[in-house]
Amino acid sequence: MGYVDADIINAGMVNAEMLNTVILTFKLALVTSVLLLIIVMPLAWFLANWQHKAKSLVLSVLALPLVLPPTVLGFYLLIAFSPQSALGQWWLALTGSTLVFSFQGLVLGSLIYSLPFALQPLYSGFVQLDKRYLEVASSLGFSRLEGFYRIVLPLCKAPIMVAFGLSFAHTVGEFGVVLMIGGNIPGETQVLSIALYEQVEALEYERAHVMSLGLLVFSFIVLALLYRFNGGADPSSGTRNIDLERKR
Amino acid sequence: MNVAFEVLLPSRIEGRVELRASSSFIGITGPSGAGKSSLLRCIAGFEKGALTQANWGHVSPKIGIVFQQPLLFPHVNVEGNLHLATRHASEHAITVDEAVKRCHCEHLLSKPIATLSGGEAQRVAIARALVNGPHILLLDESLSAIDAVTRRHIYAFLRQLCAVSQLTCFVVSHDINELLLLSDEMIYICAGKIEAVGNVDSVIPDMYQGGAIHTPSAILNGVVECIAEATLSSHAEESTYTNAGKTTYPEKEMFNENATDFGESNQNTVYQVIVSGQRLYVSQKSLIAARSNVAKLSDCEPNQADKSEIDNSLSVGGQVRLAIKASEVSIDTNTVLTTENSTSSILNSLNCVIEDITHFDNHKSGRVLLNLRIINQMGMREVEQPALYAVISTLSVSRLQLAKNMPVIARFKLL
Repeated sequence: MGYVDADIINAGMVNAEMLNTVILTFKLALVTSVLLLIIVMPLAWFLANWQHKAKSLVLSVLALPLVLPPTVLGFYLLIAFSPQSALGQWWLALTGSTLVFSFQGLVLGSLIYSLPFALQPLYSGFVQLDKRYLEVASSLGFSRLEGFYRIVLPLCKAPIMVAFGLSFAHTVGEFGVVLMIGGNIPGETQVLSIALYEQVEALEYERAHVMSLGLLVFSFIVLALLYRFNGGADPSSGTRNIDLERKR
Repeated sequence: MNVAFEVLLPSRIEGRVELRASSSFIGITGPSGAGKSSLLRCIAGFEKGALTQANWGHVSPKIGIVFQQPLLFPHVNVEGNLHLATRHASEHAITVDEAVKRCHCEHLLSKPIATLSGGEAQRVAIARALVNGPHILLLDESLSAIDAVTRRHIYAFLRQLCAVSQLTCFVVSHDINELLLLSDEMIYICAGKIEAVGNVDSVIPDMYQGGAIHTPSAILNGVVECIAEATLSSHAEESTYTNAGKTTYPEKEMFNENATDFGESNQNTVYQVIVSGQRLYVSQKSLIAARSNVAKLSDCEPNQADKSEIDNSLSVGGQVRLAIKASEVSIDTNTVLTTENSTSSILNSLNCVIEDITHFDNHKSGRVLLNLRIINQMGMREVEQPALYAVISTLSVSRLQLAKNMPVIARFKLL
């Protein structure tokens, strides 16, 4: 058995830890983005077609995470998820573990934190969709559901992709909320942005550089893809396909 | 069974419509903002606040609609749009092949929607509606971007389809003269109310008084005698018809009576049409096969008719309708000079009697509207034909000393 350098073992462990962090981060982003699409699509459709005085109030509440300091949101979520709260107690009784400092808690927090990033493009897309497409579809014998998946979804492909891309990228870069409700448990709740903060705290600038550069390149690629997909238009509007008929 | 419906959409449109069972091509017109589109949306069931009661003669009629904006689904190409429409097509729907042929969009099938021009998109939108097989088809200025010739072909096809199938078309258009010519019945809407419903000739006065039309058009009925175009062109090159300064008119047999190749006819083809025993020369754009003429085909080939064979209804002996604009009619008090002995280049003349003289705008406009009744060969007032109108100047009225019940000749071009 040969001599093994302690630095090599140490470096290998660090790399494995970083890989775990990367995997966890992207797993969180993927789960959050998929769940958000499922939740937000009917919500955005409802809001786009809802005419009520309270609509602006509801939209404001749903957009709050856009402007609220993440630590504020994280603090309230920490309170809400704690075993002393009704939600925390219910979760504890259901799963036997606490919601705070768990991956499930992170997902729930991310859903709330990234909700406006998925909602906004979808809502804009649905609002700008000419509803007469659905009237035509209805006159051709399509049911509402069939009209939605055969006509609305393909026409709103751009807003849907943008909603997915923005919520995914935003979740990858999440910091404040994760720190508050997830802590910094490697392999459990430690995501890239938290790990980066930890590396800087430990004056490990080389690793911090790698992580920062990785996140920078990732963010750039996501935005470039979204702009390319949206034909140069603002990805948050996501209305390229919808406007085809209007340009005629 | 008569078709009837009643709509009430507060502050948008209200009124009741009752149509004859034989009417299947209905024109809807009125000023902008009158409520035409609202009426169609009520019929289609798109207006949630509307109270609509209808008896269409079907248990659950399929109602198709084509807007002025074609609203083709941009995520699929033309063919994709047509195939989406066939997913829930009725049994009586025409095939995709026939629809694209009749709507002149065979060459567009593989094109993406974004590359279509406005007129092409409208044609595809109509084809898409037809392949779905609606019982009621609502066309809301759906042919406005299509060139006049193609538009007439499509309108003619729709009328024929109405005659041989269960289809009823409601057509909104601002081209009132075209609509008057094509429609079995007209609906006139003004300021959110259905003001008049009925035969074209009965609705024209309401539309005129309501300001929907500047000058009324007369829609007369006639029978195609033959195609005159070929003979007329060769006729112009000959001088043998002039005899001591008096033009003699060629006899009927000198015209191309056997010209029945209507497949090559176009908007400039000139037909000889007999109206109340008097011969008129009419270009195809002023003609349409009469509803009764098309209906005969329906009797021969009900429902499952080979619809590709039914569009040459402008045939010799076929009944036609022709539109004559009041502004194109001039009055001649010399009733001796008929078309045959006139020195005028105007080919068409009808013996008439003045039934009424109406001044525009309280005598300030300098124009009057003459209401004329055609006199048939027996010298009797032709009650079977609708009124003929003429707009002339007040100066002409006084110069020619025109008065009610005065016999005159109405001269007009229909080229």
